[in-house]
Amino acid sequence: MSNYLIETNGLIKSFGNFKAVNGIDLKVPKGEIYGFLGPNGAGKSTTIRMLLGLIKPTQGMVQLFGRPLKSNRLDILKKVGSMVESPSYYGHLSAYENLNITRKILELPKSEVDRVLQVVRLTEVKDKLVKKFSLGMKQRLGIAQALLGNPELLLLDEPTNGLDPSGIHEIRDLIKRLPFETGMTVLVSSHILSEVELIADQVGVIQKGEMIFQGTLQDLRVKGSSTLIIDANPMERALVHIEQMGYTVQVRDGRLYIPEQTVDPAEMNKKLVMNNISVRHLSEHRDTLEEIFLSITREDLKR
Amino acid sequence: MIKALHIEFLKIKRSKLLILATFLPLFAALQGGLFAVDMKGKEEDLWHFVYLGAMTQFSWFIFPLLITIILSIIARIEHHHDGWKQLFSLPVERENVYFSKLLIGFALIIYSVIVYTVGLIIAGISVGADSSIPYDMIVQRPFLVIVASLPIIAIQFYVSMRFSHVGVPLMVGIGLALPSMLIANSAKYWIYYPWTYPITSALTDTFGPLGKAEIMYTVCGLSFVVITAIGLIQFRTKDII
Amino acid sequence: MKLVQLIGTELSKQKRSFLWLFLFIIPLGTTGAMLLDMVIRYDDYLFPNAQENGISSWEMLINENHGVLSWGLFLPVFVAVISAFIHQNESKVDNWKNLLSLPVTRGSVLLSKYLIILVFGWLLVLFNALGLILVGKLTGFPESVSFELFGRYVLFQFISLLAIAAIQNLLNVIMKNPIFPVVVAFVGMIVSGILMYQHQQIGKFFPFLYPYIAGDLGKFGFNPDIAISGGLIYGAIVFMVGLFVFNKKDIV
Repeated sequence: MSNYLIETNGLIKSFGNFKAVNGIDLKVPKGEIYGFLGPNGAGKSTTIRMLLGLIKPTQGMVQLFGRPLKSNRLDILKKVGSMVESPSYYGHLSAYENLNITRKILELPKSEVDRVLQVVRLTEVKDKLVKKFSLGMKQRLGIAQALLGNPELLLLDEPTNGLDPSGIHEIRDLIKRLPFETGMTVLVSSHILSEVELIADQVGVIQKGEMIFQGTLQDLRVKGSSTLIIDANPMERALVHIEQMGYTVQVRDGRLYIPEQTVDPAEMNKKLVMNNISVRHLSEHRDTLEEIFLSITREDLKR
Repeated sequence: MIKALHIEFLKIKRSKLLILATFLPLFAALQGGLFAVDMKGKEEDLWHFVYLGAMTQFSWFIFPLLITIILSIIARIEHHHDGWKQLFSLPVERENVYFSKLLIGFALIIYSVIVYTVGLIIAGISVGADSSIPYDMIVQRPFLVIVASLPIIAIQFYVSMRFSHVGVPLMVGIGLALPSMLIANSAKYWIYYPWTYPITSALTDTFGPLGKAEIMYTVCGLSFVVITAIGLIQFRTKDII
Repeated sequence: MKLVQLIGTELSKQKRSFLWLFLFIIPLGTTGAMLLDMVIRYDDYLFPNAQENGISSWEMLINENHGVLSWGLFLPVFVAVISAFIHQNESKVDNWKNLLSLPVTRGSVLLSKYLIILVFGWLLVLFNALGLILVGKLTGFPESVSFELFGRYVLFQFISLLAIAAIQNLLNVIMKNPIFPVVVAFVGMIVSGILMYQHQQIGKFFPFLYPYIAGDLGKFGFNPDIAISGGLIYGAIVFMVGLFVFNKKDIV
């Protein structure tokens, strides 16, 4: 058995001629938080729905807990909590009654409802009808519902949608705590990298139904480029020297830009100074994750 | 399955379904009572007129529309706010969900017929019909109407589950109920139009199945099984988007 | 935004909607049912009977459509379904707040909904009447079509719907679940059935009976003029009430 809690092979879903998901190999390690990233409409929700058996894949396989979903759906779903896109609820029932319905399906003790209400801080409004809830409260109810019974796997699709900053913070802390406290594996989808950046160990980036990156956040950082920025005097000699060293240099705004990852800034400084060039400014600019994310999703758009 | 049923019961709480299933059939009973009051003094058998006055409306449109409304509300509970999505992300068998919804629908439909028969009895007693209640007519017949309505129940359940827009089942249920009384008048064609079955089974004096009772009840049973099965197959494989 | 534009947007919201299907299927059904009726009963029963009562085949046909098929009794429920369709778009995805955040007055929003319900209801009535003319032609009525008769039949129903459309529009504004206004119209239809046989005096004041009265050519002896005055009065009053309620309503 592999170490992956979620594993899909060549997952494809087409709606007519349109391939919403096109050959996704999702690999989510056990006990980690996996950030599932991609712009809106990239196929995140469709993928998550296939993980839950809500949508049948046109092709490919979904394995959860090392077993194919197709033949073990019920057993697998007992160990999965989820919230897909906007939370579903029965508006004419109270928060407690909504959770109680899910609790009964999962055959859990009554105390579970109170516990999850506590976790998302809805205890005080538990008897209020859900249709009277604010968007953020509904979202929290959806998360509470997903947490019922401490599932081994939690799938959250855009969980911070509609939450205020403190709510976002709260949910983020909660998600971060889960693997640590309960060994839960969490998959969180989002279209905003910064939301996932602080909590995820692994990320997968999808674009137009295809996985364009999968790995740790560290791996993603490496994909970004760094640029060396130099301001030296006299500029012309510095330019000649650097070009002689075999680097391509761009001159912009009276500064030299070396878009190269392999340059050692200290070495560069030493060489310039030894050649009697005074270096007034030398800095390295690294792409932020956000820039990397944007650049790889953009690159893919061009294809 | 028992669990699934219990859960469905929890969901219809506060949905006003019980109120509808109680009051709508009472209107029909009221009508029967009023009809019989008119006949008082002119006719002997007032029970017959209570029955006739109530059943004309009940079998023609009150009962078919009651079925339409009950089933569309039951389905709407899930269609509204994407309930299917959450429900099927939980470890439940889709067929259990399907059958428990159908059973809840049946329970409400049967309940409404019980209310109806009780209403008929009260109407009969209050207009001063004689003391021996003709149970075969007042009680047995309405339950036969349920059997005759099986095709309607199956079609309405199918359409309600299939279309997320509540207008669709309402449109089908009401639109198809309209011509049923007229078609029931045709000795030749009524058998092809299941919406006439409740009328024929209820108003045997006027219409009567005319020797086609066996065909009718066979059609009822068969169509119910077939339509429900088709609905279930689609329901099991449907993508929840 | 001008009212005309608002109505235009209402129409475009019904693009690809089942409502259009409804608008064609229902009259198709009534036409089919009446054709069946004529095929079975015209020569042997309906025509001689009409001759006896001194009415034309066309009048007889309208009577069959309105009273026997009970088009007039069902019409309010059809309009209720139309209204539910028109309003469903707003309540389903909470679009009210969206619509009312645009620079439009609430009054014009309500009015545009009202008018669009009316237009669809009128189309339904019109198609039903056209279907009847077709049935008469196919059956080969000896008399020529009386456009005065049909014009009157259609017009009276149009006006009676002023009341129904206003009531359903109001109910759909008040009730969140679009099924309940249909239930109200359904109850209205049941009560109409009781009133038209037994309590005609009260029936004159019961708006759900107006579409029936509008086409009553003497069968139950209502004066069709009631449908005109009633339709206008109820239409105006209920619309005003709707305006009042809608203006006060919080959009949550």
